[in-house]
Amino acid sequence: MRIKRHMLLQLIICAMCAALSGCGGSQEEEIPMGRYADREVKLPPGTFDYMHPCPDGSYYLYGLDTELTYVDAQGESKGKDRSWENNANIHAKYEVGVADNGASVFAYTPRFWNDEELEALWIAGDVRYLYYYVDEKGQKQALEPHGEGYQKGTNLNTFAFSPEGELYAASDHAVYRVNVETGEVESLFATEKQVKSMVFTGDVMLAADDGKAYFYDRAEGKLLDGNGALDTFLSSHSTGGLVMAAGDSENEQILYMGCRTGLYRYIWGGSVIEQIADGQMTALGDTQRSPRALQVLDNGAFRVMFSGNYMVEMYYDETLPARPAKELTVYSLEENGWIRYAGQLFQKEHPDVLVRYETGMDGDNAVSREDALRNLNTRLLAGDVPDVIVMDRMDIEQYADKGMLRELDGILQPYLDDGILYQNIVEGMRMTEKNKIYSVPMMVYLPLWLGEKMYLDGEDSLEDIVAGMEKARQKHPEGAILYTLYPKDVLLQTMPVCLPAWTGEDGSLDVEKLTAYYQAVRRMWEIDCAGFDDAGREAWQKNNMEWYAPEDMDMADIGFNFQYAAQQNFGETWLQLGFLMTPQVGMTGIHVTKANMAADWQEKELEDTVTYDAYTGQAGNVYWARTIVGLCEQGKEPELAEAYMNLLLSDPMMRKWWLDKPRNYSGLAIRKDSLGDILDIDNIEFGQTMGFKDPTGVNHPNFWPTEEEKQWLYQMMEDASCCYRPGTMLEECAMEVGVRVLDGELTPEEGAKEVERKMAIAMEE
Amino acid sequence: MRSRATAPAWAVQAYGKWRKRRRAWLATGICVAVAALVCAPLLMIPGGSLMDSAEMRQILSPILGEEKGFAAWHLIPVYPTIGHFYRLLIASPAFYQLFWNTVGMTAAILLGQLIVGLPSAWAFAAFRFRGRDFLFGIYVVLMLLPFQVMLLPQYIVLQKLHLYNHPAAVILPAVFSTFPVFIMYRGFTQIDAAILEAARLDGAGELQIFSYIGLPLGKMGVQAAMVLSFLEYWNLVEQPMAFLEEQAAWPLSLYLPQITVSQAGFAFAVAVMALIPALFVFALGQDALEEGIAYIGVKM
Amino acid sequence: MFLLPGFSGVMIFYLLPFFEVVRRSFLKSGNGAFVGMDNYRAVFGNGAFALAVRNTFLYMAAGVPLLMGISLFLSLLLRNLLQRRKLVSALLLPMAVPAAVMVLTLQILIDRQGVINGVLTHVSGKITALPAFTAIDYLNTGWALAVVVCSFLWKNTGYMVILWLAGLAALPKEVEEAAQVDGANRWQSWHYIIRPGLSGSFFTIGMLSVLQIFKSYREVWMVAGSYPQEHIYFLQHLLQNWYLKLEFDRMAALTVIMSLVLLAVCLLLQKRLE
Repeated sequence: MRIKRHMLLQLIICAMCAALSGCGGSQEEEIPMGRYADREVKLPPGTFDYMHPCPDGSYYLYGLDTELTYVDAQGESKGKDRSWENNANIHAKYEVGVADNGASVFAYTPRFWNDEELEALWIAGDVRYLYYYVDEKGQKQALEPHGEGYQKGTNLNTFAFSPEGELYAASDHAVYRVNVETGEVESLFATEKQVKSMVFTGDVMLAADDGKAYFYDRAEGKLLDGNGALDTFLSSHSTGGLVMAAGDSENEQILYMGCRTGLYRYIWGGSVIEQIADGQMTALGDTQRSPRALQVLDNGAFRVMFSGNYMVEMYYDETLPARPAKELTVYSLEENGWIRYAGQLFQKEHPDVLVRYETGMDGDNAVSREDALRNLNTRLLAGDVPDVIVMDRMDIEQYADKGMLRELDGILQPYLDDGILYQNIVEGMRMTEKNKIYSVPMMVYLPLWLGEKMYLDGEDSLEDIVAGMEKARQKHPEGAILYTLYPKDVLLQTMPVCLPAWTGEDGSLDVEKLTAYYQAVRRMWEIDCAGFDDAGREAWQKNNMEWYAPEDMDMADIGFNFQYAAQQNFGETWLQLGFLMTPQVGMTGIHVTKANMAADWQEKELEDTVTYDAYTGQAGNVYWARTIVGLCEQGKEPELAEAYMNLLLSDPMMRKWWLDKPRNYSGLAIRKDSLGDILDIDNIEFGQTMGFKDPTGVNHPNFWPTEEEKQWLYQMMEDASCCYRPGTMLEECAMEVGVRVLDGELTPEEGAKEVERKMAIAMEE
Repeated sequence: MRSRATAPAWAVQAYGKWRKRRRAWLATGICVAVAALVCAPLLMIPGGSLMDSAEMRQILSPILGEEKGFAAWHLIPVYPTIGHFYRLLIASPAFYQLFWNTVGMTAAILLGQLIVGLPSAWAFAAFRFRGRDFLFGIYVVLMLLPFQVMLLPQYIVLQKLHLYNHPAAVILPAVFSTFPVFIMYRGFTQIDAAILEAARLDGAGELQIFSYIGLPLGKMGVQAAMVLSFLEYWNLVEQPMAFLEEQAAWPLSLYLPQITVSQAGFAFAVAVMALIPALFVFALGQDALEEGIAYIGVKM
Repeated sequence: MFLLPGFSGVMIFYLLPFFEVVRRSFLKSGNGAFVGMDNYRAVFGNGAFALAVRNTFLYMAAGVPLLMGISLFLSLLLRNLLQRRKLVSALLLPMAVPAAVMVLTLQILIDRQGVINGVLTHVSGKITALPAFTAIDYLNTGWALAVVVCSFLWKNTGYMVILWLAGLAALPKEVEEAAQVDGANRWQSWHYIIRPGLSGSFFTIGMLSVLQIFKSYREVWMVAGSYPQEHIYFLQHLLQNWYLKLEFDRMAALTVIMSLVLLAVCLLLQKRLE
């Protein structure tokens, strides 16, 4: 018994010692050299999404709408290699499989069905595929899968050709062998989920779904034992896509796997999965793309094909340190693609630096904004500080006051002196108390209204909008005037341009202005509601639901981001409030909306021209700051942080990102030359993708901003001086109370009082 | 004189029995009523977990401020779907990992609390030493301190110990929590000091006294502590959120998405999956624990 | 000897951090300059502090006695019942529900357009004798504190019942039975036997009720946000908001004040009740 007591004590002491010493002592060792780096592979013209690797180092490129293109081992391509279909009956292709010799198979849905059974399913909204096989000579024939163990209409979603040219396919519950000539299907084994990839090594085929690896002996025709290590790996690494390829060296069969966290190597039959390249330091870590195919090259290098027409070659570079000596930590509350992209670019320019990008919340779990901020504050107070913070939805003044942020006047001065950045926008971020700038928005949104000129020709203030709505209501007694489905939408569309006006110099709340605001929005909502009875509004809400994902998208996001959103409600509503979110596409969107509103085929009469202008609200010349970046005062790498800031403000960053992803809503660049460049580009391919078809089938070309419009936009940028930052306590409070005001639960006066009361507590704190 | 009529003895007995039984029925009735009242809101959970998002949205739209009128609730969904369970149990492998994380974490914490807390509680109950009351007061205050204030200093300590972002960052502080000590202590104080004195005089070692006298008598306290700790740590939210960066190490309680209407059904499904083991523990745990403690008491 | 392992852990994970809090309560947050009692002055001079103390006190004054009373009553009823286990488990269920779902359930019930108001409106519409019912916005009016107390009771009754039962089980059964044989009625046996025997439990359960009051904060916050209706603005709202504003100095000072008060109360009660 005595012994037991001692043992207990010893146990605890040992546990503590172990805990204390467990992770220490790895700080000062020398970093070995050598690691994988990547370079982009230039692809032949076309938009490719997939690649099929061939054993000799050549590969086929293809996309669902792009035909098969062969690139030989030297990287030479003769352009389109083989036409898949001139078959007018194909409506959309879904899945493609390619063999080493170029034979291919694809799953599609037709324009018209010959099969009544499948057509009935199609009409019921259940997509069932048909299949086509194209042999290596380009001979095409329909493939009609049939056979025991295959139920008609089961979708085959994954195709793979073995090195011998046999076709294997997988549905969501089984893997099959398909005879391409006869269409005969042989069910091989059942799976728990949809198999995503199949890899061949000798006689064994490995099929993998999101959580399990199946080994199938093709010679014996039986399933071999599974492998726990691979299963675990698959279930934890499949997010964002996982690609596999077989390779061999010195009698060992090796499986390579690429996913967001890196490139891994697994020796066939073993239980160890070893990381050979870190996703953070290669293109694999790019969360904007998913890996689609992996090719193992003879010289120890790899090719990785990504979604979005992008391929890299990963090669082993002995001159690089195995892991970067320095670390730059970038923090943002929510995932920001632009910032992530900048991190990758920065890493390329500084191979000795690892950019660690951390996000406080990622939406899919219980971590709320307050929880994330609390964790960040814990780190800041404990001295474990990131170098760069993206301050969106954070209280910048609070952090500046507490000495957490570095003042940026020094870094920004050269940009302002040379007139590179819009000075007014940068100056809008100046904190009044200390008269210093602590953060810069990289992008802005500008508020806009769009509608018939006859309704709006005043000063574009809140009252003018109300007056305009009244005029429109007289003209159109029925239906909606604004594109607002719910009370909250009115607030979302108007609050950004009013909120900055509610706080005085001393931070106190201007109750009068807030009351006026509530009165105006309430009037707006009443006018809007007057065109419907309750059932009518409900029906309208239902109709518009498919465009409107209330939980993913703020209503303020509608309008002028790209044509799609602008089109959705033309002719149904007569005034639009929204934000200009991307330069060229946004301007194009305005054109399209105007054209749509004026076009005959809407069967609506327009008596005056449709026009647009800045919308000033209560605050006047508001800009909505996006991707607001600040540097930490106590950051460990001040020089690197500065270099990072300079990269963010550089023309390539401001422009290239935008050109890569024309449809994102990142905003208008605050760099004058970048904004101009984006508006000036004349990219035919880009233009084609942005054109649109009206319901009668007539193709409308894209509208490019005219010189006049460009000047108008530049002027708006020059004028924007009042910064709106979402996520303040006042906004939250005013929003919550505002909904109650619009519901008629509170009068505007009571609402303003309520906000004042709540703010009083906050001010007291 | 006529003697007063007395009821026959059997009648008195029967009346007494009847009264007793009536009392028992009344007591049961009240308790059942309260229990029903307490559980009634929870009836929404199984229904909600089978409700598809469109129906959920439709019946809840008044709450979202999208419609006039009042929210309704369908205890049994009109269009039941197992979609949420499918998504949870089949489409998201993460669920299992988080589920077992929770199980592991809770088990480790409870075991640790038993090992560490029992002797401490015993010490407070069985020995009179100087500063005992004050020290115990400190234990109570430490138990009462809100987590928010301990967050920063605990974070610093865990960083120093290189425990941050390791499951131990959640487990170790919980093991040394003063809460179970406080509850077990209560169980031990019921023991008569005279018995202890007598045992000491008889030459029993402290460990013997602890295991032969303390444990059997204090087992209700231990049981209460374990049940309450289980409840506490099964749904632990704030500590793992603050001390575990790696999402793969998170417990199930953090898996619940931010509640939006389209996620509500899913959230209910997660709640069902979180409730099932709790029910299981309630049903089996109480007995097992009682026996277990008795067993330990005999063996040591 | 028995205390040592436990205490060393408490030292590392609780006492040391607490000393750090005490230390920081004398420093300025941000630059770490020594400011003496400034933070304490800032706390006492704060309007929000007065409001929060008042509300927290009210919450406790209503919640703790109610919770203790109800759960004691229930456990006295329960202790001799055969179905005890099942009933206790049923009472405990709300505790096992994840906070997020618990909050969602509450919201569906008590929203201004929620189920409770719906039912009440429906009932008052059916029965003409009752005055017309207008929907109550429970969380944004004077009802807020009542709602919080009710949900607190809902969640914690089972918890306290378990503790009372543990206390009751430790009472020697023989004494009570003997008393009953001697003709003591229920009231007498409660007054002379049960109550004195439970005096220690009163202390324990009282303290735990206070603990549960503090723990209920997260749910209140999830339902009503960082700046709720002014009757349910508690000390922890203040703590949390300060933390979000990086005012750890004041927060630390407030913590020290709170701990001293709690320690005093605790020592006092312990003396009285044991």
